[in-house]
Amino acid sequence: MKQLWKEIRKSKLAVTGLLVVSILILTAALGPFFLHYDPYAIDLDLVIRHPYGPKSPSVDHPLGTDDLGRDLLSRIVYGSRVSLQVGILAMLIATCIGVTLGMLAGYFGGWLDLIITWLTDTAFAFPAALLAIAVMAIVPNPDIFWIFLVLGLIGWAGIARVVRGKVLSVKEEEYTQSARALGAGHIRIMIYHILPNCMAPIMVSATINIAGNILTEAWLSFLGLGAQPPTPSWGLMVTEGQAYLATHYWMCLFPGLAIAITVLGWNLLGDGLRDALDPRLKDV
Amino acid sequence: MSAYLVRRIIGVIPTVLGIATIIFFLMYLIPGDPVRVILGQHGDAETRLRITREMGLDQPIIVQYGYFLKNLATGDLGTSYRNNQKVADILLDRMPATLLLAITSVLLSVCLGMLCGIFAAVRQNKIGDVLIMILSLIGISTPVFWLGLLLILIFASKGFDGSPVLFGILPVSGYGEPGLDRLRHLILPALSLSAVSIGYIARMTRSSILEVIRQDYIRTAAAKGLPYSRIILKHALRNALIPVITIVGLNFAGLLGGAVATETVFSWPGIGKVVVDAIRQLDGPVVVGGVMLLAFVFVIVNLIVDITYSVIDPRIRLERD
Amino acid sequence: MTLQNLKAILVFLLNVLWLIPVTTSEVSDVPVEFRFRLATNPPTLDPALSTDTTSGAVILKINDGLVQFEPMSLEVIPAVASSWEISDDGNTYIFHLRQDVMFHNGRPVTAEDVRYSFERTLNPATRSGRTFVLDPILGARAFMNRDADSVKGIEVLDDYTIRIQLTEPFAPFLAQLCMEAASIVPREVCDKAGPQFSLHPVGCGPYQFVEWKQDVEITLRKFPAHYQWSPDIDVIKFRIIESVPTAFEEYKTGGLDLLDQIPNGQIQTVRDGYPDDFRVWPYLSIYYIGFNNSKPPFQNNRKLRQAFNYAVDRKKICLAIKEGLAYPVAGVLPPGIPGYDPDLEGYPYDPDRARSLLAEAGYSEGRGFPEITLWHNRDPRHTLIGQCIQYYLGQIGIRIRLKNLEWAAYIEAVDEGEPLMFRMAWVADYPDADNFLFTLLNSSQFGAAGNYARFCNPEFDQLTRLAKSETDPGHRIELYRAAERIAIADAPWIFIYYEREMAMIKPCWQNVQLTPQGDFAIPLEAVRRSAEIIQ
Repeated sequence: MKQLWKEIRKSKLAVTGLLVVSILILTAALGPFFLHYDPYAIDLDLVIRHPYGPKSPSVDHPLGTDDLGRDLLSRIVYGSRVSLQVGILAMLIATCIGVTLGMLAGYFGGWLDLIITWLTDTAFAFPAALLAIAVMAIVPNPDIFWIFLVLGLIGWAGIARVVRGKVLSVKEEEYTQSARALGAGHIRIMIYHILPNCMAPIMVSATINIAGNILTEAWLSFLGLGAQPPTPSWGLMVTEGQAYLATHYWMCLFPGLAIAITVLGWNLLGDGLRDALDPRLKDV
Repeated sequence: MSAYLVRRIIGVIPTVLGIATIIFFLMYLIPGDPVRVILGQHGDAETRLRITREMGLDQPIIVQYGYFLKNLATGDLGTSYRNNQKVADILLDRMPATLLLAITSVLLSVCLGMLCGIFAAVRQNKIGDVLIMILSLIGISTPVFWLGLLLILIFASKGFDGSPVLFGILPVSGYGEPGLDRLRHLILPALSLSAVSIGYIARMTRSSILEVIRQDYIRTAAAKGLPYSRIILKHALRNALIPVITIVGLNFAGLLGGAVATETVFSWPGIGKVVVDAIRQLDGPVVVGGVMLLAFVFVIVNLIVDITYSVIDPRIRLERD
Repeated sequence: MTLQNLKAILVFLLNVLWLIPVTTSEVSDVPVEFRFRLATNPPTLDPALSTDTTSGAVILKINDGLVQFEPMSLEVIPAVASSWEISDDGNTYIFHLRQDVMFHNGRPVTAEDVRYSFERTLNPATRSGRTFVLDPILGARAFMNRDADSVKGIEVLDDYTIRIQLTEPFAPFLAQLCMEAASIVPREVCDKAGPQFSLHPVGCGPYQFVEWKQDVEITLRKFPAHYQWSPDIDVIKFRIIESVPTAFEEYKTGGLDLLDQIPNGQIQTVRDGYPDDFRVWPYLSIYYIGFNNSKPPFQNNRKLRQAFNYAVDRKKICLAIKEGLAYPVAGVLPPGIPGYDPDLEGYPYDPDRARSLLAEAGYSEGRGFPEITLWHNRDPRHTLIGQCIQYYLGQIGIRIRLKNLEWAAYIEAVDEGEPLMFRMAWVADYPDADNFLFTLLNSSQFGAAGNYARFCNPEFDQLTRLAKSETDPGHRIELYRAAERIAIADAPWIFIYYEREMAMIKPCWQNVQLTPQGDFAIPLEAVRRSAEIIQ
């Protein structure tokens, strides 16, 4: 672990990423205690003050208000919780599926490998966005819980592919061979000998997966299939601001910036991890 | 070579069929009834039943699936529930718009991405390099739809009096008339759609060039006095092409999928928009046909990518498997 | 010749003279073009299949039926039929057709075409969702169920006379014949084109179809041989522009002559900025949040339903969400419907009264009230209104959740009575109180037929039933007003607002009849281009 930290510290980008992600987590945890406004409190009197519509940034509302008179700053701060939850939980699901399938395919090979590889290829060729749309249309209550699941079900293919490749090489290493010679079972070998050696690529993929999940959640919400109003989801807020773009830019601009900065943070961290953990992975 | 091609193209079939099957049953699972949509707001039960029977939707799903496969075998994608038109006609009508957007974006991302990548590699660790690397990461991290909106705000929006909000020189959205007008309409959607790929390709180009530059034969070439620009263009770039092409192939699915959002934001009359509208109206045949078409294009593009490998680097032989 | 007639002729002559410069200017080779915005690609241009106003906007220009609505009064006036007789028992209609009506392919329209068109709509193979327009006709049901080869009640007497018999007297039948599904279409074209007819429609209306670029635009050209109209507008372009901000940009830069929507939050500014373009007029529509009156907690708890009504500040919703374009609702009938009562008080915003009624209903300060969900279909405006309702109910201690679905799944759930609260709106099919009070609230209309709220009040049912067959207009209105008062007192919905129609129209267009049916039905064939602009 110490070694990891040392490597990360070397890269400016990775440190920046770590910083952004830490700030994000802090904001999600503590931010709400410093806010004046309830992110759900609508204020129609404010909206119908001349001229009608969302109010521009001011001392009262540093980032302005939306079209129901709600404080945008409060909503964006609360939105960081939604974003973190979605990113991390969906990542966990995708990683579990991806690691399991990748290990099975790489370790056993043969027809199992063929099937899993075909599955992975199909998942890649599938317009994931459309799958998400279809699934979100099916579920009875499109809310955050389903988003975790859908994103998890979409995101595993990349991880599976990386893990399979790594397993293929680790499997032939001496320590694995000797463990097998000593009579260790398949599961034991996979968990104690192969998995630890795959941790580096898994961590990198998982971090980058988080970034992807946050983007896809925002995008689903933009299509009306993600978080439901009045949840302060950033994607949803961009959607709400879309019609006001030319005249009330703040409704669309600030939540979008929040998404971009967060995703950038996770991507930077992922890149930094990759450089630190395994320089050979650069091209993945 | 041709035997290989035939084998690969036949190999596409199970993938596309698998996708079609998944979508077919997914559409069936979506709550709601396409016939109810056709009826408008008020519909009496009797009319609904009659139309359901006419369309064969009263049959068990597995029988409907059988019909679907049977039609597919004869090259028929079926007819839309919504307006009785042939699905193939509906899709072919929109294909040019989607292809125009996707191909422009690919060209844009390859050209801009590689240019940025080369520039960054040549100026490794200088300010230009850092700037480009940060910009490319921002490109990767920005939601496509938000970028589209931002581009509209910057380059297209006009105020009440018709004066531009910022630049206001490009059309806000739409398809435009053929010719110059179409080109003007194309710029913003293509740019927002290619931003992600530009980022990836720039990073990829940079790292492969840096890798190649350190190799012996390049050093030899440099020692022999070949001009630096020649070395980059002739040797390093050639090597960088392979990972770039891989990225293009992989991202093509992203382009087609991302086109759904882009087409919505820019009112671009392409397949993505048709498919999303069809999902909303539970128009199963159109959704299944559209997704099959997108998947098919994706697989074909990847085939082309594989062939391109062997053209660029004769050491990679296609028959290997 | 009376003085009146003389005056009429004089006015007519003056009109003709005044029109002369217009006609001469038309000789110049630039055709007069009118650009109309459509929000989506129309699902169909086949009049038998159309169930939405987007399709209707185009279809109404291409097609004519036996009769039509006078755009402003919404009375039924002649179209292809020059006159008609109704038997004393109200059961038999005889229509006399004009002899100068041509299809766009040049063939004259005869009574046989009327029979063909009606049977085409009713034919199950056509899959029309609007068969209800014609199913009052005797024998229509047997024909639809394939038990008969023709509709018994339709009888061609000669080339230009047709007799239609109904199963039972039905007052709104003539009004229903004005709807698109009763348009007259040429057999030879329909039979040949099959489902493709929707892509190349032919009718006998004032404009003929030219081209449909999917998702881009639809072009119509004026039909010179039309029996009634010789429009100023030579070409109508329906431009398909989904995004409202985009459409607005197009209007500002001259790419549209009529814009039906303005981006949120800008209506006030636009009103001030473009006083000559901005038009608002009454619209036969109502927006409400329905309760499921046949399920607890709303079933048999009138005080609860009333409490919800008092809790909502509908006036502020009209201002904040509709930017003053809607009126708070007092009753069920919107202005423009015969029987509309301007003196109704409805439910003013009164949170204190709401709280006390809530306590009387058994849920003091919301205690013990189950957490219920307000459903709406996916649309920014419904989302905003839903959040307002959520907020106002929160003020009296009631917590509700919101849930939105795509229209397809949503309407099915509402049909089935699944949601306890749901948003809904209704735009009149035909301008009659029957189309609101009976259709939306009579207990025979439960579910998909219109009474989504599953409201059942025997007294109300009786009144609306009686009014249906009442022939004296004055008495009929009395009956409807009595029924409406019962509905208000029983509060089957949270009444929200009457919509008003809004459009921006370039001021160079004159004689634009702002019909209460909505902008899609504005008769463009009657629109004139003002003389000054032409010179």
